[in-house]
Amino acid sequence: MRPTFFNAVAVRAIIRREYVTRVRTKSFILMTILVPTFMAGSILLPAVLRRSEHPVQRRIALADGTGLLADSVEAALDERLSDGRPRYVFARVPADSAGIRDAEQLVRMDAYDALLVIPNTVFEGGQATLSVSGTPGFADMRRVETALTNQVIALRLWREGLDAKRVGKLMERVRVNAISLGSEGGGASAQAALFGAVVMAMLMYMTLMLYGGWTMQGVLRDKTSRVVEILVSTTRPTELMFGKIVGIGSVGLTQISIWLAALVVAGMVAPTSTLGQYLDVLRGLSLVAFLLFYVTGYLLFATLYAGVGALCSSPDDAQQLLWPVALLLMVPIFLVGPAIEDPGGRLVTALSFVPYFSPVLMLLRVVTARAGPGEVAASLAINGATIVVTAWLVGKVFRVGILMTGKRPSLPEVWRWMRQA
Amino acid sequence: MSDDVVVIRNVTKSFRNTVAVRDLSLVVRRGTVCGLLGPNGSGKTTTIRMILTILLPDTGEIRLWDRPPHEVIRERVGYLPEERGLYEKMRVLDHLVFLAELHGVGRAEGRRRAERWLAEHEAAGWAKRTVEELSKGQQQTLQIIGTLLHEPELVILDEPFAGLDPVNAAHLRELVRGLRDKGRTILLSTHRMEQVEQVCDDICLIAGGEPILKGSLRQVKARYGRDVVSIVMDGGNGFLGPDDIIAEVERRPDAARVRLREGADPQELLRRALSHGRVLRFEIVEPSLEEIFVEAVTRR
Repeated sequence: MRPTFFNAVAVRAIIRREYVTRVRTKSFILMTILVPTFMAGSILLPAVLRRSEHPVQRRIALADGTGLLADSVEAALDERLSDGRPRYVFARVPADSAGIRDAEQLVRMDAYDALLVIPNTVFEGGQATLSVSGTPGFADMRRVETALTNQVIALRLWREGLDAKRVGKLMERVRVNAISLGSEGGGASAQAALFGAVVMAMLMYMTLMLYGGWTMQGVLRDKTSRVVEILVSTTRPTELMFGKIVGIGSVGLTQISIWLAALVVAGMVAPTSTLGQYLDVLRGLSLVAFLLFYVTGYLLFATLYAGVGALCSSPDDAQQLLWPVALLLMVPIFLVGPAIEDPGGRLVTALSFVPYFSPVLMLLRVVTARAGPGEVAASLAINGATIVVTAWLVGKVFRVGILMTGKRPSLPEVWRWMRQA
Repeated sequence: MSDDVVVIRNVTKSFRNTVAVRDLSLVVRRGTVCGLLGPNGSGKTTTIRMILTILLPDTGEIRLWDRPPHEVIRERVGYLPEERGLYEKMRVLDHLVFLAELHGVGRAEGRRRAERWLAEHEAAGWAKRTVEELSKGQQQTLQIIGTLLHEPELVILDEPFAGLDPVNAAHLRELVRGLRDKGRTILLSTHRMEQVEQVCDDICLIAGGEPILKGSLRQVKARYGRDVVSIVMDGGNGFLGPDDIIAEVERRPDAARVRLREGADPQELLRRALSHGRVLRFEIVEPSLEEIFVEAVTRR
């Protein structure tokens, strides 16, 4: 008997077909470009906006009813713009009603950007006002308020016979900078590590759902287009399933590799930028772990999705059978919150070894440096064993289900197939 | 080596409570065209699917070239399913190469053959188009080319004439005859009897999952041929009706078709006709397969 065990030419053809037809689609190319663009945008945009804040000088009219604060407020607001010019330019105006009215008129005519009126009751709790022509800028308001408050407090302290500078020193805030001392990311800040972990978990979830879903749709399409009869008469169902899963999985691997490569390149091009700092944690073990967990996670879920596809005749039909698979996929996402709050927690640690949860949870622990290579290897081994068992079981269901059209089989029937085939 | 390509022995297949094929035996000889005939739902497709190991028989045995089918199907059998299946978004040439690869033909070789076949069918212009851009008839041609690219020795066509216009049907008949002349073996199923008469050497009639008539077309026709007479009279033929020698009469616009009772002598019918008026034409005819089929079913 000739070796018909595994028809390499046919399986390769199926893999190539699944791969090429998908990689050639516009949606694949669009997604490959848009996802990193969107992610980079969501990280960079706030930073860019912050930096481009107040590029212009503000002219502020200052009416000091106390006659004591003007100098010190001006000094406190002696800040420079990026081009070296002072951020604020002050003009003293009389604090009487006529002077204030004139100044207000000038604010309306945009000669001044704002008018700060300090009443002489300010030490006893009187309210200062900042008048602007349009909507007051939030950052400016806060700066002015802080400067004024500090000066008023200093004067109050002085009146009580205390030295404002000494009090300020005694009351100085403590700054906390969290640093992760994990195996890999040495001095990377813990905040960046957490951010990287969430990004990776989300990326994993998205890709598993997307490409798992594609295997199901691929199987369904074969059934509805009736191509399946030719496929089944030339290849064995297990070969067909293998070809489909590997072909579609390679599409995912291609896309993810492009994304990760883009991230790494971005990190290298601008290592000191905000993005670069965040990306620093996505290197080394994290990257390798992501690829390994993507591959095993994809195989775990794609096998299930392929089985669902083989059991159903239409996408509508599949929706009902899909929820247990979707649930398996969603549980770890619900745990991302707790896992971030306490990456070393017992529940998260335990669940990170459970096959269908580990692609997200173990990855989180790797990125936050809570899991070493030994644990990763153990988790991967568990995944591998699960893949073998489910592929064997689903293969049996696939063999019978792939040719079925019409009514979906009941669960007892599926159970019988598993035992018989 | 035996000349029997397909041997089916006492095969039975049931689905839940219905028997799709009951105790079917059939031999397809090398270099012949065998027609599997029967109305819709008679078990033709189930039989074909069992030959292709898509389904497994409950009892009985199927062998191809005296070997278990699964050992030889991939490389030596070409199959055109009843419901055509093609990937709509795929380019024509890619699709043909893909089908060839499924049958174990290497990529480069598959491409060469696909281009040659397309050229032979005056379809070289299709190569870069996607399947969905082709008309239904063109898709059918594409699928047939795909069935033959790996040069199978046995070609199985399930309802190949379904949906074909007369011109394409004629093309297909020519193609089938051409394959047979090259020594290939063809098994085709159809419910359109007139197509069978034009291409088949052997036939197997099945109804309700059971084989009711089989053999070479000539034998079958000869067996049923003697007792049908076409008769044209000048004047009424009202005297014709079931009696001691006439089993059945079908009045057509051009002539009356009379089926005689078994063993009845056509000469006796001629004598009676002459006594009723002038006989313009009197012919002992071959019954059509359809008539044979109807008779075989009702006689059972």
